[in-house]
This record gives sequence, structure tokens and C-alpha cells, in this order.
Amino acid sequence: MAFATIDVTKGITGTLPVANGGTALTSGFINGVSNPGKFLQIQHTNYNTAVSTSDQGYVTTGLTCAITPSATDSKIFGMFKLQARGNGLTSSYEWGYACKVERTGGATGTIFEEKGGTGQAYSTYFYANANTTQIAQHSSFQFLDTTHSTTSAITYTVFAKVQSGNQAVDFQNNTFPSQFTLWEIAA
Amino acid sequence: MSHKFFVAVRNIRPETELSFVGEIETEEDFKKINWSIGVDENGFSITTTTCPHSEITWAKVKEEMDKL
Repeated sequence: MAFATIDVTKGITGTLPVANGGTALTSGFINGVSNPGKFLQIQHTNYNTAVSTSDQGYVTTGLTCAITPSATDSKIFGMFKLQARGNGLTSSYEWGYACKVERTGGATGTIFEEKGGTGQAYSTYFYANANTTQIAQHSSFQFLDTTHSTTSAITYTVFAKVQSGNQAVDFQNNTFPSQFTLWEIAA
Repeated sequence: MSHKFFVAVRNIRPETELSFVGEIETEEDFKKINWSIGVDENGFSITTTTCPHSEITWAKVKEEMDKL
């Protein structure tokens, strides 16, 4: 196959697609954008220490992930998978939990919450009796932090609460792990 | 294993709210339990490691666990 060398500084104008294998744009435009988004870094946690709760207030699941943003206006995309084993402690065989992610360090406050109400309002939920079985399973979660405004280290911690004091949840039971991954994406 | 512990506590006092790391197998483990005594304005549990329920003691919990 014959290859020709093309001087792209002459005779080519308009918006050019990204070339196969092309990287490191230092000037000009890619698909009409001068500042294309890109991944800056990734952080990952694999956590397998069992944490159990029957608390209807938020307590830590032990699952955390930390990142030091390289820019105040970058975005932090988070994904976590909560491993959990439910314990129904009464004859109704029912349990459910809600979770949220709290920031500490360079940024603070709640960045994500799967709000729990009552009964099946919990997105992760199980119920069974002689006539019926109900399962609402939602154990992988995502959030986007666009408000951190810092280049100081931020720790994201996953908290959870159960639906009733007659239910319990074991997170990371039997050393099965939960995972938390954070991506920093340029603005 | 934690299921046995939770059922034992429930048998002594239903709807007791608590959390812990690892397993509760000894009195030392029992002393590390976070017992809920309320919820703050942000929904976080307010906890203490001193059990606020006089009817729940390690001896009583162990006795219940041994019955299960």
C-alpha cells in the first residue's frame, strides 16, 4: 500500500475529525471544540471489611475513595458498587436500605443520595411472605460532582441506613468486596 | 454470623438500632458497637459506644445467641 505525506498546514481548512491515534492537541480545534474533555486521573478502592447496621440513621459502610483534583473546574465522576446481604429479623422477611455519598476534605456536603422513604420507596428492597415476593435491586450507583471547586484532596464516603430497626444489612459480608471508582474529567 | 447477633438483640429489645465493623463474638467486640441515640438534621445517626439500653448486656446477648 502506498502512503503519501500531506502537509495539513496548507490547503486544508474547516473542522477536521480526530485522526486515528491522534493525541495531545496543543492548538486549533477538534470537531469544532478547542478544549476537548479528557480523563485526567482515576482512583479506585476495593474494600472488603464487613460493616453491619440496623440503624435508620445514616452510618458509614466503610467504603471510601479519595482524589486530589488537578483543577478547580474539573468534574469528578463517581461509580460505586455496594455489596450487601440483607437480614430480615422478623417473620415478614423484609429489608431495604438507602445510601448517600458525603464529601470531606477540600469539598464538603452530600453529593449523592438515593432518598429512602418507607416500604418499597427504598431502591434496594426485598419482601416475601407466603403469597408474594418483591425485590427491588439497585446496588450500583453513579454521581457527577461538578461543584468541588478545589485542588485539595477530597474523600468520598458511602453512608447507608436501613428501612426499619427490625432489619439489618451486612455490607461486604463474608469479605465480598464493594468498589468505588472516581474519574477526574477536564472541564 | 451477624444475623445471629442481630436476632439475639432483637429478641431482647425489638427495633434496636446499631452498627459495627466486623463480627460481634466477644465482650470486647460488644464494647465497640455504635448504638444509635438519634438522628441529626442531615439524617446521620448520632451514636455512642455505651449501650443506652439497660436490658441489653453482653451476657444477655451471648445467652440469646447460644439459644439460636
